[in-house]
Amino acid sequence: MEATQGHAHDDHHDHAPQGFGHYFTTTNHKDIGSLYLWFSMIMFFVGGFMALVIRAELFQPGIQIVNPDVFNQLTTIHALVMIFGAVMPGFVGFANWQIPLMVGASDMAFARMNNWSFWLMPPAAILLVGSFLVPGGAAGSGWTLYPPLSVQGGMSVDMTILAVHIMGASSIMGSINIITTILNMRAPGMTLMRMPMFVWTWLITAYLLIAVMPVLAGAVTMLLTDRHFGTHFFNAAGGGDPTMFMHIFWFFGHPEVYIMILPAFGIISHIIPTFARKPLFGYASMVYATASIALLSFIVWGHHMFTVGMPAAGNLFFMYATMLIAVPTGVKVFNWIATMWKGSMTFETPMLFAVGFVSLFTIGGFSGLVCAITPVDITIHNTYYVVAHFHYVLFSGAIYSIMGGAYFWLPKWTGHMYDEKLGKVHFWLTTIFFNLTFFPQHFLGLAGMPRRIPDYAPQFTEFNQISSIGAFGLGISQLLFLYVVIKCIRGGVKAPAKPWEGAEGLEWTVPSPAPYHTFETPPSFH
Amino acid sequence: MARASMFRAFVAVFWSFLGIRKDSEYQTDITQLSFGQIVVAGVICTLLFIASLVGVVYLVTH
Repeated sequence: MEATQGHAHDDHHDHAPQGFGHYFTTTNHKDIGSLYLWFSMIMFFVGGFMALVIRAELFQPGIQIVNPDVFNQLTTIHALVMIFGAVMPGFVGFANWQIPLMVGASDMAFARMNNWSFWLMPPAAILLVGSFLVPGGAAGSGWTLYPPLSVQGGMSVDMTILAVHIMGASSIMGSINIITTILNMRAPGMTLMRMPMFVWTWLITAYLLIAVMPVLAGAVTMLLTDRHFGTHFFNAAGGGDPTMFMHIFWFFGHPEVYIMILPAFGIISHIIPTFARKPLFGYASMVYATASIALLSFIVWGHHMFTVGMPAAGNLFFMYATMLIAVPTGVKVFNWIATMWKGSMTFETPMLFAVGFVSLFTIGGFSGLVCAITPVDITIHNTYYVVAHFHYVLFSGAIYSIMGGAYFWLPKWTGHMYDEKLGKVHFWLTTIFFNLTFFPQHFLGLAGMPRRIPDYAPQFTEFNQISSIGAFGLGISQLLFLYVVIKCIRGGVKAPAKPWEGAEGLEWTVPSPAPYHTFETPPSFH
Repeated sequence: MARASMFRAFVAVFWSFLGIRKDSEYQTDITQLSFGQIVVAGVICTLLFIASLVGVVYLVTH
């Protein structure tokens, strides 16, 4: 793949605005990408702080630090902040920075809407986090907002519902922008089946977002009218059905899981070929597998509800459909390993995170298959086994890819090489403490420890203490990531246009740091 | 270039469900199949896939 540079003149009129003020009105995809990434970083630490309070409380049995009500609020808002505040905006930040650079577009298709998409996020975050300060405290219903708890809760539930609405609107606008950019603004010669993998995964993710965000909005609107306008959608006494909320919520919730992992697959599909110095093995099958996973995501929601009470036929259907997701996911893992096979590999920090992703995400995938088996799930549902499972998928999956991707593209974004030694230390500390935190939780769950409960039986103490020590190590290690990023922005070895020997793609044809305006003349893509 | 038949789109989607495709066949697919054909075949195959799962469930429960 080669690209001729159509942007040599860019350097001469690269008037990047100075000062923070321009960020409020910016329509530049690089500015907005940076805003999303910083927002994600801040929310990652806010959500992480809540997780550490949870782990501190669980360091020993009994109630020490927070009362059970606050504990419920912390588990609820930790999840919402991490999902809607850290992981999703993180990937949207990557999309804003990388998609125009990767497809050779000058900016996102709807630049002003892009600004609005981002600036909806801080008010939503303030509503979510600020709800701790209102009478009664934050929503304590769990991030799934199940009625009747979410109907009975105080005004913080309304704040949470409004936050979810706002973030949903932001996601839908972001998705429309991404789809339009990808379908209409690719460099001449870049056919769909020659697009970079990250672009493909985001195209499919954006369709998923547009399909399911309105479903979530509908569900929480029904909650709102049940709470304030006398409707009985979810009130059995009034002829409604609380189970219906679960079905609607998880029809959104399961595709949401793939919204948080498909862009991760895309990032990993760039890092591994670069540091294995081989083209991605099975590009077309990667695209097919991503599309298949997206389609399957719509017919598996019932696996979150095996213990709720469904006919045996329903349980079986959702069990079979869920287990089949292992096929396309297995294709992806196979392709990443085949890409590394006999490659000329080096292990810079992005590659460490990518290899860590493949290893640990696969553990999360396997524990997902365990949960998919209905009779097994009936015993492990609502236990720490599930908590361990989804943290292997979301932390060592989504977050690892965000960190690996950040190290991978930081030279392009900042113009400086990051501190490789500190990056590697960050990876190893993260990986050791991550496993120390979450691996014991599998055993806790299998032994019967329920999730979302601040107290536990004394026999669970040792594993909980190991998990809490790991969590604090994991949290503190992330400060190193913040330090490495700031250090990289402030200076360092000058990065060349293509800092990685094996890197492919249009983004590496522009100088580092990427000029404020790139590809004003579309490059030709051979 | 001559458009391939709808049957070819179904075959391509079938293989994509498994995640693999012979390279020569794939090269023919990308030059001869239109985006619309693949989307239509994909939606129909998804419905057939769901129907087959329901069928298996029926066989198990009856």
